[in-house]
Amino acid sequence: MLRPTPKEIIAGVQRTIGETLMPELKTPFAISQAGTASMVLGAMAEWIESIPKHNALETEDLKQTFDALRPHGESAILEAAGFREALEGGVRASDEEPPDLNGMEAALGALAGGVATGTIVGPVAAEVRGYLKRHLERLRALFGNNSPFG
Amino acid sequence: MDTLRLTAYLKHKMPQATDVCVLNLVRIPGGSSRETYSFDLEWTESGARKTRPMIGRRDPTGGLLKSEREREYKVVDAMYRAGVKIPEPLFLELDSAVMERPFFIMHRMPGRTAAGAAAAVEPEALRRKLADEFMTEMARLHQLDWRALGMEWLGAPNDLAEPARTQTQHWLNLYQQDRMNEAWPIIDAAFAWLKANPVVADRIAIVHGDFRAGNYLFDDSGLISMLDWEMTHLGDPLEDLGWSTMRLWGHGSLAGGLIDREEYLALYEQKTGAIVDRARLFFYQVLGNAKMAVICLTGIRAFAEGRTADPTMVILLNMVLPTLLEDLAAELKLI
Repeated sequence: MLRPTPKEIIAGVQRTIGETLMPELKTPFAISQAGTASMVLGAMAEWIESIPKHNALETEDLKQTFDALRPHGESAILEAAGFREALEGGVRASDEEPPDLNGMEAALGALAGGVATGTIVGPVAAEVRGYLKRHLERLRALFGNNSPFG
Repeated sequence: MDTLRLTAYLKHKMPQATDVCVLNLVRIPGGSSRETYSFDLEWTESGARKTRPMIGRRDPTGGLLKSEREREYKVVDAMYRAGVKIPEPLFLELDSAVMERPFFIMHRMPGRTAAGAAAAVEPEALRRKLADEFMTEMARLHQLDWRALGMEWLGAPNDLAEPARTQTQHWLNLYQQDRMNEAWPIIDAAFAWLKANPVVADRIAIVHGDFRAGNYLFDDSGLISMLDWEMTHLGDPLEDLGWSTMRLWGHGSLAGGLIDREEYLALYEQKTGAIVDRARLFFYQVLGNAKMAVICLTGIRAFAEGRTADPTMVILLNMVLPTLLEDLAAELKLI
């Protein structure tokens, strides 16, 4: 493995900011920006490894979600509600190699709109809700519980 | 901003003054939609030496909001004249040649800001006083006669259904513009819901647009001044109430980190004499969460495209956006 690793480099730059630059800064704004930059670097050190994993999990989950939704493509309820195209678009995006993550997310967003407005119900709504719950859990795992306000 | 240019500008704007000095000019944190500078002004007038604490707000190169400084200045000026607790606006400069970008100068008020957990650690007596004074200011704003104040220029809605539609479309347009081609399923769902469930206001009022904990100055004696008027418009007064009761600005069951949410709403009813329509309030809480999510995406885009160097924009991604998405998903029964 090539050393220093990206995490070690970022930790080193954080020390540069904290130990060398910040003591020299004079204004509250500059000190605040340096502190925030250091905090961002700390988060980035984690994200370097976790974001590719996060994207892979999202892609796989969406692919499975659209696999589960595929049989509902002919659903009369979905057709009547105007969401057949969204579902078929999601299925097409999931069939691409590699799967089109953005295309699947956009299609899922349209279907989620149908769930929110009550026009999509039943098993399709359950699949969409299941994905969104897992999606939020993954986002929380990625970003942590760090609300600045509480 | 630099001291020499600012001094020259103020000498020009204050012909009655001599020996004009700008002291302690320093950029201060906060107010991500504008660069904010603090300084002290000294001058001689009618034989007497005078001093005044000042704030300069300059347009950023990029940031959270795309807003107009002339509009904000005119709002602040009108609100000051109407008796709202707000710093006195003094000078507006739109000529970018003076200080690279437009700016305005106003009186600097003392005090500190706090939202959420930071507000919740204040003593209960102070929190109750702040909640009361905060609601007094919100009620005062919503009861102002905007026609009498000549504020039609803010864009008077044609009917009572227009505010919800206009705000939804405004933030949806910004979302589509600033999402950088990323899909956010929960935000998509929120806008679908907002478009399908518009509410009708019972009257049109001046809406601050960012009336919340963290946007007022206070000290141990209470609320001193409301801040950040760049999103002010004419609309449904419950928009401000919905925004201020979002979980993001609060702490646990405390709205704004101050008092219990139900008590907070009762206080608004008491101050305005109007019953809060819970369905309309809910609409504006959903809109508020969607709007804040869009503001995050606007800031993130500005950072990603190099229009701002403020790393706070990245913090929005991991510290703010997840909370907003969770709240939207819960509000819309998406999980």
